[in-house]
Parts: sequence; structure tokens; C-alpha cells
Amino acid sequence: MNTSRHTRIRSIAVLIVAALILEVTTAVQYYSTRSSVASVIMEMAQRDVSTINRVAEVKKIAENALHHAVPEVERLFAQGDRDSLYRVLQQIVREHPELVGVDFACKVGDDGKRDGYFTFRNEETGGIQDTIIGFDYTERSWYREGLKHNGFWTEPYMSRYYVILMSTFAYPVRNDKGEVVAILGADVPMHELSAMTVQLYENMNHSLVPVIGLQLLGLLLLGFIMFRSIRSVRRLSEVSAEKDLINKELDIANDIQTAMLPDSSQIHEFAGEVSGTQNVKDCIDIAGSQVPAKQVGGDFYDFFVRDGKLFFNIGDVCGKGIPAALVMSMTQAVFRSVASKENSPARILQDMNVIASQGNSTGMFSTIFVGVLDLATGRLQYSSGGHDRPFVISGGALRQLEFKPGFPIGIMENATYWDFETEIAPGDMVMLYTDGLTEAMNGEKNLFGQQRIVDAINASGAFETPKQLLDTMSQAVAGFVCGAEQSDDLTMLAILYKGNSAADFPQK
Amino acid sequence: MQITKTVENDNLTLSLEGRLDTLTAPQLEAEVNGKLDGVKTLIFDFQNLAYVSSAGLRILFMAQKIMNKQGKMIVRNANADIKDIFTVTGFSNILTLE
Repeated sequence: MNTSRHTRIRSIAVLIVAALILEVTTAVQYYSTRSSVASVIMEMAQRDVSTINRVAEVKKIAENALHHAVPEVERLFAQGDRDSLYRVLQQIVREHPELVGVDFACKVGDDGKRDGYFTFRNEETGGIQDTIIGFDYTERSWYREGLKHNGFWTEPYMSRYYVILMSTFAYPVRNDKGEVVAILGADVPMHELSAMTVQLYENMNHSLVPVIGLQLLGLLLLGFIMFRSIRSVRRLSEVSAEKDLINKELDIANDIQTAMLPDSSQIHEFAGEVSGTQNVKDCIDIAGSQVPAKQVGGDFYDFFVRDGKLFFNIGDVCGKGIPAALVMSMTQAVFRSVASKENSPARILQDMNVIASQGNSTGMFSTIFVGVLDLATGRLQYSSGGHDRPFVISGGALRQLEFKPGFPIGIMENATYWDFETEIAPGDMVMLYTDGLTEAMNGEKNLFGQQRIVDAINASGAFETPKQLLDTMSQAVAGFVCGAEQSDDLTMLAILYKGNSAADFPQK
Repeated sequence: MQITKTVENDNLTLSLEGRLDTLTAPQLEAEVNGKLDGVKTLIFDFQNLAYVSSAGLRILFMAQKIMNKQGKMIVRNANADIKDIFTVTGFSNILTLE
């Protein structure tokens, strides 16, 4: 029992420690992830800001470049001096390394004739080149939107020439009447931004390494905890198997104990011992009942017939469980042995007490009542070792046996016990019980008490058999406690004296 | 069951409240066993004790045996039910009741 509790406590401790470590790891992981994510976000934000700044700067350069050039372009276009106009365009590209090229596209009239010119920087040589725009630029947003707006930035698009992402600032070129005659476009590459993005992802990968490491550690720990848990569960099931075994053994012990209590049918076995004219079973009827509070209890009763006398006892070893059961077994054996030679209940108790007291270091003791009923005369001799007063149901009347109480046995080796005597009339019933009956407790912590015994007996009138009496009493107790847990062993013994019908019954 | 301990010089008073039975007797046994060294007078106050079972009697008996050697033991304020139990079990002969 102790070991299983110990194991359980240890398992719980391991689980708590493991849970704490997991919690700490998770917390560390959480904070490190949070801080690294926060720093990444911060970096990204800074980059975003710098990117935005850079883009704004480049845009400004492009816009300014065109704004400055437009009056000159308009003048040269009006004069029809294309060579000078192209040189202006080349000048723009040369002076602005941020730009990859400048488009010049005449407005396409109803005739559908295109006239477009593109000046660009050769990335390999660094020189400025120009070429006629071969494709249909009227489909391009820089041309279409450029016609409508007074300066327009296109969405980033993939350039056919450079195979890079870029944006074009389109600005209208007007004649002296203010009509748009051509579109001037500055191409701004977006590769700087692309490069930045790639770098950002690389940085994020770096910062993920410790986080993933921590997560792996957490998983490892989780695995360890699961391993420990499974092992604990296995151990617990082993322990519970051991417990089952103990329970089985206790069940066997209970069987043995029950077997030690005599059965009323055993009265028949004493048949030959009384006389030739009358059987013992015609003189008496006995019923006993025992309900232990635990699997094995400390209550006991016994009876046997010797020399025309019924020797009986009922007792209660203090405490419950195995210690009480051991003392009970010993007490039973000693009673049989002492009462086989001794006729006086007081002397039986005295001898039993000496044996029980010698070497009793644990202080275990038993209350016990011993009676000797002369079957021929109904004379009952009895003595009590600290035990409750039995009841005698005599016709309609109810009385309790009176005596001077001796000590429970096992306390004082030199304790004194006294014999008392009473007459039991034919038809009388003697009821003995342990304190499990009087001290049966209900949910309100009230005790059953002797008055309820009296009430139960009075309420049911005459009893035909001892068994009837015990059944009535069991029902009364069950109704009283009403499902409350049984706290003590409940043991009763009832003896019906039928009397001696044979006139020539031999007197001892 | 509640046990209240009061120490005055070499007097020890144990005030019990509730029921002294199989379930609670080990509690009292723990207070008595090996803890009475130097105690000259042991007083049990049963003012608020409802009931004593045989398991409780055993502890009282153990305490009485110890106190017989080193001083005296007194049981105070036991109610009628408990006094009855002491009478029936013969304990009233070995205990000092007040």
C-alpha cells in the first residue's frame, strides 16, 4: 500500500517537474521567437522605410529630369529638329544613372502611324544607345495614361528589353496650343527593391535557426515526458495488480473468518450429546450474523454444546482490519480450548484474559461476553469482559442482563471477572450484539442506540425464530443509517431456548 | 476529530472534539505515543467529545499505562454516554474521572 502511494507520489513529482521544464522552455521559446520576430519586423520596417525613401528619391529624380527637359523637347519638336531632340534625350539618360532609358513616343493620330524613339543605357558597355520603338506602344499604359494625365507613374511592369521590373514616369509633350503631341517617358528600374527583398528573406532564415532549435528541444522534452508517463502508467498497473492480489487474499481471509463462525446447522452435530430422549436442536435454535466494515473484521461469536450445556460468546476486538482479525482468530481458538474444560464463564474469561494479556505490547484488547446455558434447566450463567448487556425477550417483556462489568480481555493480566446467573424460560430469546449495532451511525451522525433496539423489538411483536429477530434488527439498522457508510463491524447472535419438553430429561 | 493541546509547566491538556473511534483513534495515538516525556499530569478534556469506541479505549488505556509510571491521568467532562461506556467496559475502575 505504502509503496504504491510512494510510486504515485514520485510519478506525480516527475510529471510536475517535467511540466515545469516544458513550461519554462515554452516560455523561453515564446520570448525568443517573439523577440526575433520583433527584430525581423523592425528590420523589415526599417527596410521598408528606406525602400520607400529610396523609391521616393528615385521618383523625384525621374520627375525632375523630365520636368527640366520638357520645355526644350517641346521647342525642338515644334522646330522639327529631331537630331537635337534625340541628343536632349541622350543627355537625360547620361546625366541620370538612376534611369535605364527614356522613351519618346509621338501621339498616334487617326492614320495609326507610330513614331517612337527609345534612348537607353547599354548595361554592358555603359554607353548610350537609341533605337526606334518597334512595338505597338499605344497598348502600353505609360503611353495611354500619359496622354490623360499631367505626369503619371505606371504600375511596375516587366521590361522586354531588360527583363527587369520597372516603372515608367510618363509626361505629356505639348504644342504651342497646349495639345498633347507626344509622350516623354523615364524608365526607372526596380531591381534595387528586388535585391532588398531577397536579402530580407535570407535574414529571416538566419533568425529562424535558434527558434527551430528550441522547438526541437521542446519536442524532445515532450517525448521524454511521454516516455516517463507511459512507464508510470505501467508501474501503476503493476501496483494495482498487486493490490488485486492483496484483495483476493483478504477475500480468502474473510472466507476463513466466516468459516470460523459456527453455523446454526452445526447444532445438529451436537445431537447425540444431550440425551437419548431429546436432541439439542429441539432445545435451542441459534442464528448469528456478521457484516464486517472492512474485508476482514474484529468481531466474533461462537457456540458449542458440551455436557448438556450451550457455551457461547460474542466479542469485539478493538479496531478493524487485519490486526483485529489476527487477535480475533487467537481469541476464538483460546475460547474453544479453555471452555472445553471450564464450566464457569468468569473462569473462562479469567483464563482467556491471562493468555491475551501476556506479551500484549500493542495494547490490542477485546470486549467479550461469555454465557453457559444449561439446556435441561434453562439456567444461564454469564460473565462480561467489558461487553454490552445482552437483551432477553421474555414473552412480551424485554430485559437486559445485569452484571458487574469486568475489564476487556488483554488489558490487565490480573483482572477479575464475576459470574452472574439468571433463569431463561422456555420460549425466551437472548440477543447478543457488538457496538456495531448500538453505534451504527446515520448521515446526521446520530447513533442507533439501545432505545432503537428496544423500539424495533417492541414494534414487531413476537419472533418465531432467532433468524427473524436478526432480520428485523438488520432492517431497522439499514433503515436508520440510510446508506451511510458502515463504520464498524455489525455482529449479532440470537438464541431461542425452547425448553425441556422431556420430563425425564437427565439433570446434571 | 479535533485535538487541542495546552501545555502548562509539566501539565498537558488534550481537549478532544468530535468522535474518538476507529477512524480518529490513530490521530490521538500519534499525540500520545512517545510524546508524553516529562509530562506529570495528563488531562483529557471530553467536554466536546460525543463518543468513544473500543479503538479509542485502547488509546486511553495506553496513555493510562504510560502515566501510571510518570504521574497521573485525569479524564474530565465526559458526557453520560461516554461514562456509560466506561462503566460497561470496566474502564471507570482504572480511569480517574472528574
